[in-house]
Amino acid sequence: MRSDPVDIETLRRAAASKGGLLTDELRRKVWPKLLNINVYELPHKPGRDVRKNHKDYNQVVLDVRRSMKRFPKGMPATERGVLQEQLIDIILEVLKRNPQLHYYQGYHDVAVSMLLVVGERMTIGMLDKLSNFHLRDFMDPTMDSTKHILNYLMPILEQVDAELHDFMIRAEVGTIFALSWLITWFGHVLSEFKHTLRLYDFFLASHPLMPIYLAATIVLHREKEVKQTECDMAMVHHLLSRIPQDLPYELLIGRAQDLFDQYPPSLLAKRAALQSRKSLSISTFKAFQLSTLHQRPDSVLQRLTKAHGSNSSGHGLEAALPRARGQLWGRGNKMVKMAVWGLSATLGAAVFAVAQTAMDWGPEVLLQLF
Amino acid sequence: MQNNHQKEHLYKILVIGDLGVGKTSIIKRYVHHNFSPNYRATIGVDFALKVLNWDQETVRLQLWDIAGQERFGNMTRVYYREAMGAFIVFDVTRPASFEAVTKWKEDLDSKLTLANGKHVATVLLANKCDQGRDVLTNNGIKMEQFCQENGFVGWYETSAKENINIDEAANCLVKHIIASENDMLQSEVPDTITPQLEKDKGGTCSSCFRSQ
Repeated sequence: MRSDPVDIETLRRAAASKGGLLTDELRRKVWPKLLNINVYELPHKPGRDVRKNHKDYNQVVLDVRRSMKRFPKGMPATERGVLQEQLIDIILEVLKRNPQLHYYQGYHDVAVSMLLVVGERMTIGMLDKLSNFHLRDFMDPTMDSTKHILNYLMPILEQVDAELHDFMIRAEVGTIFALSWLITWFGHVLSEFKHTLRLYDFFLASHPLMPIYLAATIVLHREKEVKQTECDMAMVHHLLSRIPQDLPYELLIGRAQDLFDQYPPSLLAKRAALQSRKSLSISTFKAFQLSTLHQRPDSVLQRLTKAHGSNSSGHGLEAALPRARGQLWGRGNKMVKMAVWGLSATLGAAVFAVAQTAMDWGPEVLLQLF
Repeated sequence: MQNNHQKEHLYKILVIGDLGVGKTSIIKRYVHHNFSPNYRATIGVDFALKVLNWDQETVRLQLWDIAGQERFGNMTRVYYREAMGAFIVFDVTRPASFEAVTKWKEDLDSKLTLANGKHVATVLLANKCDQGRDVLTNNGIKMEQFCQENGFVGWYETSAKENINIDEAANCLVKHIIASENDMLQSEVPDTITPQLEKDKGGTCSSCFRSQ
């Protein structure tokens, strides 16, 4: 975090490694770096007029009002109410800034997962970035690009377990059971928020197709159950769409990463069904990855912001990091770094696979630099 | 789909309508006998099974809960396949959701036809009737007319919250499904009773059923 530029590869490895970023404190510092966001120049809180004449207003309100289960059980209703109103404003603000993006049901599940960790202003910044990169395909006028992304699921299964793949083809189950997993990064279907956060660490540090690889590992993990089910679309869909809440997430994350390394999207895309369409999330990912490599550490960003003499920007961080302030902030960088290195040291073999991915990016990154 | 019309029947029923009208709540009430104000938006499709005893026979209902947001439409239509009946739901407190009813019905009829060329039995549900009766449903005669003109076999004011008319509406639909099944059994050779969509050719599933 303190090296200049920020050692983004190490942060990525930490986010993907066992346990992920572990605490919300760390997430508030590392998540923005993973998305190349300057926490000293966060978007301002949306004004009242963001709700006026917004074509998605009614739908967003309906979906957010119905998202009560996404908030911690013990949270007082008034506090939840305030957050829900913020959520509506955040979503409408990001959509307003990006007229090319279209709201989908489930987008609010992504937004709330971030709001509960990083607060209103940083959520706007993160959601804006995510919407233009990782979630971009889901936000087309139609869901055709989303279908395209879902089409990667069966070829992965075919590579690992042809028998399971054939069973699912015979059942004609399709891939819609994984739709909500993909477009909400599992936020819609997991009841434990800590598991959602763990997956968000992983996905923020990974290729936009990683949720599909994780979906594949979940199906593969349940291979016996699936094969024992009646080979019928309704029955298989029913089984798969109900995600077990006691999944071994660390194991599955490791496997998803292995599958990604072994059968990268480019290899799967050679299959005919996947060639017909272009994914914006995939095609812009390399450039996005590159853009994250030149970030200045927060101490420098803070100095630069101060040098601009803008007092209001200084307040920005306080608003953005509601629970990360005070004394901790002063020595925060050191703590983050130690925690990150501590994690890296305990990784062992798991890191090797992840590091290899990083190496895969390496040569291309270098080529484009010179 | 069914082994023998005298023993056990399996019927697939679609539950469609605009978002937030209460499709999921109606299914949960009917199948699990409970209600929660906290149901989340349905993303894609969901599914529930209800078993009924009907004249000493077993009727299994597969209820398919289809997401209401229009953009999911071209993904979820594949689940219309082989349905025998449908509920189209609107929210009596939201006139726009009623205006969308004809759109949902037309879409359903264009995607799905029984083997005898008829449309699947469809019941209209005016849900959330506990929250006040909108002008739309105050006049029963007008609704009867609306149903006739638009090919609904019946309509009910329902409340998933207060458990009003859910069972009645389902019984009405099952009755019409069985009647149309018998109709087909009498008029056709037995192995053409299963309705089906024309095989999808890799594009969207917007193709109509081709009757033999």
